[in-house]
Amino acid sequence: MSGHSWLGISVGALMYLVCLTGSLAVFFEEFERWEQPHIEEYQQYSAELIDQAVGHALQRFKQLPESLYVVLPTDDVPRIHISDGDQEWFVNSDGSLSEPPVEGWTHMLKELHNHLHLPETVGLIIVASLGAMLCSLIISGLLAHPRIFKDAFKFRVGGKKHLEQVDIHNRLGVWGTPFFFIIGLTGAFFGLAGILITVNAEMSYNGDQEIMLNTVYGADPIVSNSAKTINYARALAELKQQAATATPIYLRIHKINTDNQFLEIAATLPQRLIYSEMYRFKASGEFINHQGLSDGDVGRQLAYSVYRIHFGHFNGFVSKILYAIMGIALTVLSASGINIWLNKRKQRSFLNDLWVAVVWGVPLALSLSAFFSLQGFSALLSFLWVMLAVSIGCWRIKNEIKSRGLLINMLLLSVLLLVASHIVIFGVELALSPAAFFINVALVSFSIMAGLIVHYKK
Amino acid sequence: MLIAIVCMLASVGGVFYAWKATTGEAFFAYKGKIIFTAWVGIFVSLVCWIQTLGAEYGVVYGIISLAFASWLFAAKNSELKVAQTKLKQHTQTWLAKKQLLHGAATLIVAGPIALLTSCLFSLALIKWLPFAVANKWFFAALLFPILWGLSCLWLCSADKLRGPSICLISLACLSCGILLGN
Repeated sequence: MSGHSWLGISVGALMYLVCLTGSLAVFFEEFERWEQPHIEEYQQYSAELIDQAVGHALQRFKQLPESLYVVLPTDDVPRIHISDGDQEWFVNSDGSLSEPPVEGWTHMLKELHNHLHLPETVGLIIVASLGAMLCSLIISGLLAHPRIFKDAFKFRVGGKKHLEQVDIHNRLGVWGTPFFFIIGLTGAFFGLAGILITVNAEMSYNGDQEIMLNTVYGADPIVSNSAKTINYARALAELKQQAATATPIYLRIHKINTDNQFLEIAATLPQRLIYSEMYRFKASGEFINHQGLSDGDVGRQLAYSVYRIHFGHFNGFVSKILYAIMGIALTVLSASGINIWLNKRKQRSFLNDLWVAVVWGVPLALSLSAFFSLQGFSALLSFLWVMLAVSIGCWRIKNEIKSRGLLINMLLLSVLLLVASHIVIFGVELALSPAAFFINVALVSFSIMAGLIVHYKK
Repeated sequence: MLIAIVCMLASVGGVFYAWKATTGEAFFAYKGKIIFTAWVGIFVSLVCWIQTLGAEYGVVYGIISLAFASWLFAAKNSELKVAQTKLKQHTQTWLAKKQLLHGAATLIVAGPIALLTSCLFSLALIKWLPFAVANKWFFAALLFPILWGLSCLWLCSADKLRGPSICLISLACLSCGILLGN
């Protein structure tokens, strides 16, 4: 039990931050649409549109890109965008290029979840280590639970704070175990796979990571004497013949405008968790092969399924809602673990105040940073300044009950302020358009419902 | 899908009411049988999810529905009391120097040393597995975080770090030897 406690206390605050941002990041596509609701949205596209968009994009690049990506519209994001991995633009329905995606609040949220805004490799390893710690906390939590069956449904609300937190922690933890374990393991995979690849390549492939990755994920085809122009229409028609149920999600043009160019169409398959299967075509549109991500070795299929399993991006919006609720449950689990430890202590100290600042300050900072980001300020700087102000404020107040009440009220007001500012900036029509409607309604509903709960509790 | 949801709710409900049954109640005599049947029901619900959504989505939805159904019954069982909000004495406590040093040492051993050991051991372990390369690699990728997490847990529970550190470093050397051996 002491190992579980110490490990939990050591990683508690970061775990809380990563879980909360992860729960919100489930909806990153919706947030991106909300941030730019004026971008043209459509589901139908043609090969001519893709051809025109590629032509316009190539005119804008100073150098010929190694690969060009055309991300196709889906039910979740009915927009086309084109990118070389560095520069990116949305595409209008007439094939012309629109504005680039903003690197605003959603970008900040994703980066915070993925690598805590630290240098990418270090941040990825730290976040991945939290996934590994989550797995060991789950195992040790189950082993250390002396009354796992006796207390299976016990839930004391109110009364002694310590008992309430213990019940919240144990009920959420025990019944959510399989799901939380999967999330921890897949989260760890993202960052630690890189280390494993580096070490394994060094030990078994003379340091050549490409050979190793090709062995695991499959290699690209070698194409020569390609046609000068890419026949998208034929490739899309061939795809329908090869895999009638596949839904294309993006195209990748390799070695564009060279003799070795070829086209890859990434497509999702029904009832499959793999991110996509990759179908390869010659520039003439003739089918070459598929990468075997859907029917290759089990390890390859699983490795390619990790993204959708972790983020819940499958089977439409229902999965996203369920994942967000489970994510919030994991966030509460992290917070209640630290609450148990703080309540067990004989006295209070600045740690109690700082913990309130983290638990209620992070959502407030996220909400206010979204507000400032809409006004054109840096989302990350706003987030950090708000967190600093909240931490100093809580430390000065030295009363966590008072601080918590204040922060909750500020959070609810800031969410309403955020929606109001969105309406003022983009106008009522865009704020209620399909691109922004869900987020605005969800934010207002959250604020009203949470306000009612707070009022009822008082 | 409806059958899967209803089956899950009924099964978890069965576990809940059997759990709640006290001596003297008629229900109590059949407690064991009811719990067993309910767990079979949970399995049947999982099969229904798989039938409806396919094996991959079905398993994910199955485990999420198990959590939701259980939390629902735990919420139903909640005992509401007036919250006690008495604040304890606020003091300027700080961790002792010894505790800080132990924490820093644990961080060093649990961080880079345990990380490297788990990585090397995972790779060494899969060397003899009779699977395809992709399968072996993915197995190592799953094993690695679990081993690292468990070694951190071991280090956090240990009073002294010397023993676990020596064990981890020895294991890292052994794994390295195996990997470089062929």
